[in-house]
Amino acid sequence: MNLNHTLRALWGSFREQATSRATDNFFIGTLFIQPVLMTLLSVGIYIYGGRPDFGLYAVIGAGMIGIWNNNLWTSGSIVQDERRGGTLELLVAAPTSLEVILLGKSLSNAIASLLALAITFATGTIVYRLPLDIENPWAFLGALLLTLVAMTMLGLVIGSLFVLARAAGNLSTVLNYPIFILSGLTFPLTILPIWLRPLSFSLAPTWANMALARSAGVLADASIALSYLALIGLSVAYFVLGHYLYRWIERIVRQRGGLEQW
Amino acid sequence: MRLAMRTFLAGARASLVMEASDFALPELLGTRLPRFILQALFFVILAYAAGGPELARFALIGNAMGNAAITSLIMLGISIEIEKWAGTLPLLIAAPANWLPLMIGRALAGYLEALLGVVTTFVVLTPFMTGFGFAVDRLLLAAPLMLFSVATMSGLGWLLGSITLPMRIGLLVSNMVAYAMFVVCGVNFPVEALPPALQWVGRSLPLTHGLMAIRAVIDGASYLDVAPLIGLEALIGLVYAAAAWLMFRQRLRAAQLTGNIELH
Amino acid sequence: MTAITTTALGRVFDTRTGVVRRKKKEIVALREVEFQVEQGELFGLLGPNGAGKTTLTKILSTILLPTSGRAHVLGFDVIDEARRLRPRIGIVFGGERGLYWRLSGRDTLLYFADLYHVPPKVAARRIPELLELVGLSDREEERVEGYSRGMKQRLHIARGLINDPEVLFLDEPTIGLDPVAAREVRRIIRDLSSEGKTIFLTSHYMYEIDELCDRVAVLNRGEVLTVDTPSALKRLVADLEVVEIEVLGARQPALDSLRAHEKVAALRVEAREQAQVLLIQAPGAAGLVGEFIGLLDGAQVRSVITRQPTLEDAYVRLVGPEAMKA
Repeated sequence: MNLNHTLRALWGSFREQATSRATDNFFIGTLFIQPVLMTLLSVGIYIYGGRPDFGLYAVIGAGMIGIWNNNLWTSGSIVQDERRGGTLELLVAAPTSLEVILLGKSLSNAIASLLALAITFATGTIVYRLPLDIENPWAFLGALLLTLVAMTMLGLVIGSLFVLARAAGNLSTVLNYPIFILSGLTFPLTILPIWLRPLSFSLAPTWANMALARSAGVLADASIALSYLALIGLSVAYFVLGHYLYRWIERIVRQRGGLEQW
Repeated sequence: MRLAMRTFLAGARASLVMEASDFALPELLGTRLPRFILQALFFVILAYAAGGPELARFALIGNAMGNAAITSLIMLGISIEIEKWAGTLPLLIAAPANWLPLMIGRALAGYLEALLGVVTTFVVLTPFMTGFGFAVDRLLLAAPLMLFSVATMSGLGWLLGSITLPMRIGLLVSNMVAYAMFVVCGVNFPVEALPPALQWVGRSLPLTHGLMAIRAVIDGASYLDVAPLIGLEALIGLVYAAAAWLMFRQRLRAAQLTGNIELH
Repeated sequence: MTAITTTALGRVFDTRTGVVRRKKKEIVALREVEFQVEQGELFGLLGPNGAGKTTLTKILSTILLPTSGRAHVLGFDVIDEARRLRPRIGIVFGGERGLYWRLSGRDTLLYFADLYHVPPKVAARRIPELLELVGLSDREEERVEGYSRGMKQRLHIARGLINDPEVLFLDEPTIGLDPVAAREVRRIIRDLSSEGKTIFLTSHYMYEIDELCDRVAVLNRGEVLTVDTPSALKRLVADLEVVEIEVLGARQPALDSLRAHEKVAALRVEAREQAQVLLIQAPGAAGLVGEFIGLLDGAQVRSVITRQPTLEDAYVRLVGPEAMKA
């Protein structure tokens, strides 16, 4: 496999996804409007509760919620949309492996999803006049980068999973809020019973949120290095899982001539 | 009047049949209802983190009701959208019956689902509210008010559905408005805590005053005490319903004039 | 040199019916298919709906695996050497599916150029050429969702040519097109063939195959009945003449006795509005018209036409009149 070819195919599918997504009303709605509302809500509760010092944490948590939602909506359907549009077979027939194509699409979605964080920061600053200073910008940037990688790999997994198990798509809308809860998005993990901690630690948003918050200057007792490591480990795990899932899909498509039965 | 009653029943039957269909029922029990409860749980924990048990209790009442109101709003949006997709709107124009009772009937399944959501949310989440639980008799006393607040949302739902009728983004708009109401209608924290401009938005929407009345009754107030709030809620609900009626009639006329069956 | 070879190629699909008690059912889509296509040839695959044309095209273009037998395209095994074969072939399916509606025509080609490892410089030159070839140059920036069916089909063809394939598979490329758009697509196919590309074309339109193809395979119920040139196929029915009788209210016994007539080689009944058209193949049919009408037992005859047999008549003779109803 030629690296130049692979990068070019990655870029091609990245572009296709970006173009298709840019004109999708539902995406624009979830990307722009939801993070604004989530910030208004979560920061508003803290201010009313007399804890404005939690504003920055809430802004980051609302951003992570936005990032998660965007990836779920967009990458969750990367395979499904190709199946519905009749292009999946053409992708299988192309010399580029399906995995590379889906990776390009998922990366494109993950990058766009990061906008949610910018939106929640802007909302917090403009509406609630929060002083949102990032204590350690370089560590924050590193956390963003690792979040991006983790979300890209996760996109690969959910994109395959949603098409192989239709119920997974439905389940994900139910499991959205439990994941926000378990990941401690907008409130500290310590509020949850201790026996839930293993579940929390197995989720990428937990670590992404922790890395971002710690480098921004909140959550004094969290470790940046540990959250970096956890994000890298989970990304590798998602990648391996995604790799096998995509292989499975490619085999099913070739054996049955499509995913029509799915 | 008898004809109106019959069209109301026809609409109600249609909405209930769709609700009970093979497709909708598993989705209600497997997806919508759990989501209803889990979303409330998320905000209750957030409120607990921000302001302790008392704010958590505030958020529980608010989210149970907020979710219910929004169910009613979105269900109406969906039924208008279904009419649009099914291409049945021209039939509404052509039907001899007045379509107003039909639309009210169509909203009925939304009310039932909303009420089911409120009850299950309270039943599932109240045990977690140690020390700050609810007196069952006060909750029951507030129940008619809950139903009332759910019903006042129909006007807004119908208005949004009518405005977005020729567009492809109807459900998106209803969803976003519904979400925004969680911010401005005093669901998770009192309206007074909002920036002044947003306070005005909140006070001009249905649900806000109804929710205030419900909270007051649960905390021991009598219906007489909250009569002004009920009156305001009713007034706001009616204003939106009237606007919706005019808008919908306008849309049907426009469709009749242009002969555009699909309306988009 | 041969471009396509198949040996005892077969494909069976498992389908499940029923919700409660699931029954497994096997459907044989292809059975012992054997034929060869030479390089540079325009080869047609003719057959009624459900004959297995799309299944065969998908197997040859590496999208679907066969369940028995082998197939080679350009010397590559379609099962084991798919990766090496894929850059050298192009596939076009008929119909509106298989396009990204939110992309422009040009972006669609750019995207597939990347997926087919076409070097950027080559793509920059080839994409305008392809858009020109399929007559979409002036609409290239427009989103595909705004294209007509014919335009979508032509974009499909341009997409199938993005890697300058040596073999091009066209599966029902004119299906659902209006006559003008279909003629335009046939013009493009003929141009491509004259450039020396090997083209594998499936269709259930006889005149299309007749007009375009060097050789044609007739496929029915997953089996290849014959492989020959269109003119040789027409020779199958050269001894026959065809009479078309448009009639109102012909009853079944009358049709049966017509079919039993010693000279009648084949009888096909088509519905045309409220009338029936009886297509009768028989040697010297023109001289037998009176006899045929006599057998119709007083049914009202509206018109009678005698003509020379076409490829369609040869096809009817091969697959039998029943298959035509599909």
